[in-house]
Amino acid sequence: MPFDTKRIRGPEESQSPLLFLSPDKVPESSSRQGVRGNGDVRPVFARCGLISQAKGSAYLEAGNTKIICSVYGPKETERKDETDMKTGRLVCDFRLAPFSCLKRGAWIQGSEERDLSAALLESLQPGVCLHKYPRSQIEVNVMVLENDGSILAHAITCASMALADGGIEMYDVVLGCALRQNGDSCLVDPSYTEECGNWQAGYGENQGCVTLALLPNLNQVSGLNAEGEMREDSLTDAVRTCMDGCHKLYPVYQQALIRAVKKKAPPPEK
Amino acid sequence: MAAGFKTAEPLEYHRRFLKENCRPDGRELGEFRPTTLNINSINTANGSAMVKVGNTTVICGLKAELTMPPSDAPSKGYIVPNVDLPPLCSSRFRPGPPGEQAQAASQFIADVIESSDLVNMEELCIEKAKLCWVLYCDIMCLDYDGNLLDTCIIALLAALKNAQLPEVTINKDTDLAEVDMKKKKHLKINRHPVGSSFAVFDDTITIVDPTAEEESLSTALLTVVTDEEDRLCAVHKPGGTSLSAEKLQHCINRAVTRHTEINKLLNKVMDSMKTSK
Repeated sequence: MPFDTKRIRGPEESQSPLLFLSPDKVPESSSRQGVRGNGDVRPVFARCGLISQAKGSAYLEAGNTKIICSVYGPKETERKDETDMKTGRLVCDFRLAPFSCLKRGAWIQGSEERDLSAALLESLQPGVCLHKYPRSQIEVNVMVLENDGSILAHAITCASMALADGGIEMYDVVLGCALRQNGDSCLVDPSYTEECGNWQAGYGENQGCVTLALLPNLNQVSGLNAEGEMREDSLTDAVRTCMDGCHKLYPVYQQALIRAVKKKAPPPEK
Repeated sequence: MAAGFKTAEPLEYHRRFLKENCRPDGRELGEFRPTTLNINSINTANGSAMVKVGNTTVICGLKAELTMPPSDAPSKGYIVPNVDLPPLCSSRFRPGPPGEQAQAASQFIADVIESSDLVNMEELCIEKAKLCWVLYCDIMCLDYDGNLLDTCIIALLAALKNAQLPEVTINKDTDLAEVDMKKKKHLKINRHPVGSSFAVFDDTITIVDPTAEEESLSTALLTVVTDEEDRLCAVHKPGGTSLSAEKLQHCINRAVTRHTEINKLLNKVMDSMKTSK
């Protein structure tokens, strides 16, 4: 771990207790049987307008995955040399809290977080009317409080709800959905253990994860992220399944946004 | 019209309220904002707590890892607190390495832990000079509206109280640790420090629990940390105008009353956890 002079120092090295589990006492891995089907998404809890300091904010809970997002702006661009006179800029910052994963993460932003920030930016940009905010930048900060799978997909949804809550003009909400291809079966909205998969299955064929970002009303895909090795037909099926998954949860997010708007601007008394 | 006046002359705006012995959000000078506490929400952490004091929201996640005890104290473990103020919580914080405020807050929390003897460090040691626990307390602010230090202390205390560490034994043959996730036990907390923050306006008026606006307009800030036996654990007054001894005593007395309130809240939440199980 790089030497961090700005934080309280602990011991040089430390290991997670999970590495030392006694072999006969390994916790049972949970299966989906009985709780939800392979094509079912997890029930979602979404609320907007939680952070008082931010222009717009949203909190999303899907199973155990907890994500919070805040939006600041539009404000003057920081880097004048890259200013585009005609359109605005979207700046995304994706962070994983150190206590969010099973193994404690470092405070310094790693390559995974930078990768996810870039993917998030790519998926959100087509949805925001940036030409309406020339010479300004909109900041989107996403924080994952607990990682239980499909964080990129849910972060995309959370970020677009926060943008809508902040009154940023958009063409459409951007919804995200993730899928894990496991041989011949696919699991929609995988949890962390499902995403990582069984190490034995990893040697098999057709293993991978797909994350999709969709604009539901325009039916356009703004972001597609696929990792692993999958057959062509299973990849196209996976994309279609993800699109269905996005549409399934769309009413929930709509309700959350309507609720937030009603709170901010209550309808006139009759 | 009031909003315009507030933007143009914030200090005058606040002074008008303080003259009438109240504050812009309707509180009395000695009144704290409503405090809510939620524990055990993060399943990946060994212990977690989320505290809201008015709008200020802070979440503390505790992760326990194994390491070798320090060479100068072979029978003690480590507690490493860290306060982070991400750009999420307020537009005044930029992404990147922790700024001054975050570093100062982290050091303050570390001092409170040490001076109040919060947890017996010997308890964190599993085998002398071989294995001990290191508790990483990561305190993250989700919404910054003033009074960060109090909220962080409450979050840390609640997270430590509900933390569950798995049982670890050292296998005599292989000399490696063996962790049993099924058997878990709580940490033993010796003291319950609770902080109260004050802000001084114009060298005369002292208000309790300042919001972010009030903090920026104040002339001095003060935090007093007391424990359950009405003893002083820490007093933090980073610069600012001087404070007379009687004012300081008055602040300490208010801190003691605040302690009983927070203690009641903590006990209520811990009891509700036990009954729900």
